[in-house]
Amino acid sequence: MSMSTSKNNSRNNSRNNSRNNSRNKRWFMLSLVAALCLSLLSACGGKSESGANSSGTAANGGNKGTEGNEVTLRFMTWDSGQTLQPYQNAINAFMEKNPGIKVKVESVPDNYDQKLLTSLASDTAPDVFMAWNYPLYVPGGALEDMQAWVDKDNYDLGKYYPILMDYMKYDGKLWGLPTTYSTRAIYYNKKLFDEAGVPYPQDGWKWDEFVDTVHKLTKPGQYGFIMTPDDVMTMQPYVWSNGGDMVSEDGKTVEGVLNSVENVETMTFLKQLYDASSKINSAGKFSTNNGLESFQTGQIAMFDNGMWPLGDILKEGKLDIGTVTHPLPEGGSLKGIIHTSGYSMPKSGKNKEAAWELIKFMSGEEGIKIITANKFAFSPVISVDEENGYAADPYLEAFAKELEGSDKLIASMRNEKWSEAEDMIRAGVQAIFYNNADIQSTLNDAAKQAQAVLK
Amino acid sequence: MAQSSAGQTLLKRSFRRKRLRENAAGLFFISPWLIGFLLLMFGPMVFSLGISFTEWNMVGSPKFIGLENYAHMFTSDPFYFKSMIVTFKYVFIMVPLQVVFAILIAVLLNRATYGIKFFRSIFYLPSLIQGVTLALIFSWMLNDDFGPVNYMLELVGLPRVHWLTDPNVALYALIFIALWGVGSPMVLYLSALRSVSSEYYEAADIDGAGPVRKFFNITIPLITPTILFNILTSLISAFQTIVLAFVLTGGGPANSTYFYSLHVYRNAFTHFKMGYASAMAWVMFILIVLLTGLVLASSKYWVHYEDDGGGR
Repeated sequence: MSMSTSKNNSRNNSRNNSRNNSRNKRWFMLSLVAALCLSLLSACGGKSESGANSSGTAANGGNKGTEGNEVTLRFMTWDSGQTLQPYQNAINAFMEKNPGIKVKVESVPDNYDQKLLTSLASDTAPDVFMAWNYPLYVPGGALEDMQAWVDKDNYDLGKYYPILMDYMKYDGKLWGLPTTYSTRAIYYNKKLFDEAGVPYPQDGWKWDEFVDTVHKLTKPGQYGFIMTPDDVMTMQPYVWSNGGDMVSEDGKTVEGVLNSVENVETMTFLKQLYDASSKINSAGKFSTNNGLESFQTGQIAMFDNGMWPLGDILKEGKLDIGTVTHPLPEGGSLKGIIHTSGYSMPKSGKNKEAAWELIKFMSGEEGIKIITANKFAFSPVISVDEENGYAADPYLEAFAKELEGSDKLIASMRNEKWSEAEDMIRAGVQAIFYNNADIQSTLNDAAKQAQAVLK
Repeated sequence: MAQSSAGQTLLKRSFRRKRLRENAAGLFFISPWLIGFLLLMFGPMVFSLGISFTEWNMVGSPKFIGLENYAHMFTSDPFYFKSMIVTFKYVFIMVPLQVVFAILIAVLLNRATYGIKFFRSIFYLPSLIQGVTLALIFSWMLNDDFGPVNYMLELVGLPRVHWLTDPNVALYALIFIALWGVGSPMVLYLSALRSVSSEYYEAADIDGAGPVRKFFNITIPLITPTILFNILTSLISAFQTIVLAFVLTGGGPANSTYFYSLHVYRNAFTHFKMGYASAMAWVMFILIVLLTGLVLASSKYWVHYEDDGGGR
């Protein structure tokens, strides 16, 4: 009797022990798990904090910027390497002219918006920075209203193209002075056209001709064109030239605009284009600049891009290329899309006087002439653009024509929540392209979803 | 009676003191990790929990909106459940495959063959290449037009596969690439296999058990603690997977690889909806904790610890 109870006891004990063991094990595992999964969360927080700290020390180290003393300005750009050089040249010229002002260039090629937003939020933003997405930065109230500075100096804004000035505004206020700009056009590989016996496209060509040309230039291992459902932004020239739009002028209404009769026509054409071109492309990864490699290796006959790669292509001299404006629908007119950005400063800046001088120089005749040399980009100052004569250049003529009829802001400049609305539209276009979804009803649904985001 | 109870409390006290000392030693050993956690991770975690109840785009001050972010997730975000389904699909295919492959390779490498050390290194080597490098290598390996994988398929008369560009294939291609890292769990299994006492096999031999029987009745049960560990760690990392999809597909084609983590990233750093992204990250956190809890709870039915089998 007593034997069995003691046995029972010991068994109980050992069971308790093992339960404790496994409980400890479990707690250990759980805390391990907790730590592992939270690395996702803290990765974001940690990154932004360290970013703010590093720029914070830099800002404190900078001079306070009183007249007479030497001032050090921080200038932030996403350009780096070769594309930074033209800006660096202009900055060097500025420093020569203004011995009291030193400019330190900070090049941030990756996660630019993220870096800029964190530095704005922590009052450690650079004195002058490049910006393109004003709807994103403006609502936080961290940007300096540039109108006051323009008024103070009676600075002449009339020297810029009016459409570019629209890109510098949001919510009715002026937030920057323009840097450079580029429109988009279609590049074509003359050799592939010759091989297929297809005549080179001419400005003013029609949508059907485009689809037809793509068909003729597509064969195993070669595509006439790459059309993807992913890059909604660059579909806008087609939408506009057919009299449609993606969102109302004020950026508030998508329903009834996106799913208009005109846009159903445009989408029908784009679907034809997609069917004729590379069926499946480097999905999701083909955006504004990709496809360049495929074009350079002769895998695609035509591609849609800004003027940026032109200099390199011509310099290498391996490709015999031509450029042509976007094709048009019957009775449509050319309405190009514009890529541009501005120089801005933060409201909390400590050297605003010097910053304004730098901005005036970089965006004005002197600076812009240096920056746009060697066909690097178009000048926002009309007189410099005329002087450069790029509009008469055989390769740049098409790009210049795209600007002429351009009178619309890209949708992302009209509403700060556009990137999210665009996700809904992209999903719709994907359904149309990949799964042959009904165009009208898909656009109706996408419009409804996008509208819900913008409300 | 009284004497024995006094003795017992004395014993208990000394036991407790010993326990305390052991705990202190344990805490000391993990202190670098603990301090790192408290200093670097705990703050941002609490911050992100707070932010998850607000609307905030990083500039300006966060606006408190209560549970709106959480409500949006479950009611009006058309991508939320889509990305959740993609993630679950990935996890529930990837994790079992990884466990099976890792064990199979470990078993093969657990033989005393000539040059086995060389083969062990060779099989482990690939897992040294991870993350973006791995993704870039496979972006060329799986390239539609001039990737070696498609070239080899063509050599044996099979059609080319659009690995990363076909909505029906891309997710499986990513799983295939992720299995590249099977070397690290393989090493764990190998060491677990080597610690299985040969006495069990000898006894089984005497009882006339075949190799299959030995594998399922001796080997597998004895390495279940390692299997549990492997399932937990790969479950967690699979739920958070982002690098491969981020680099190779960007979530496409047609959102077929649009993982939950990409949706979080996109909301945080494309739409700059920090509050919503934080809320989503916290839901994922809770989900992972629940699932791992479930796995741990189930472990008492299938994990065998050699030391608590019969009660000492």
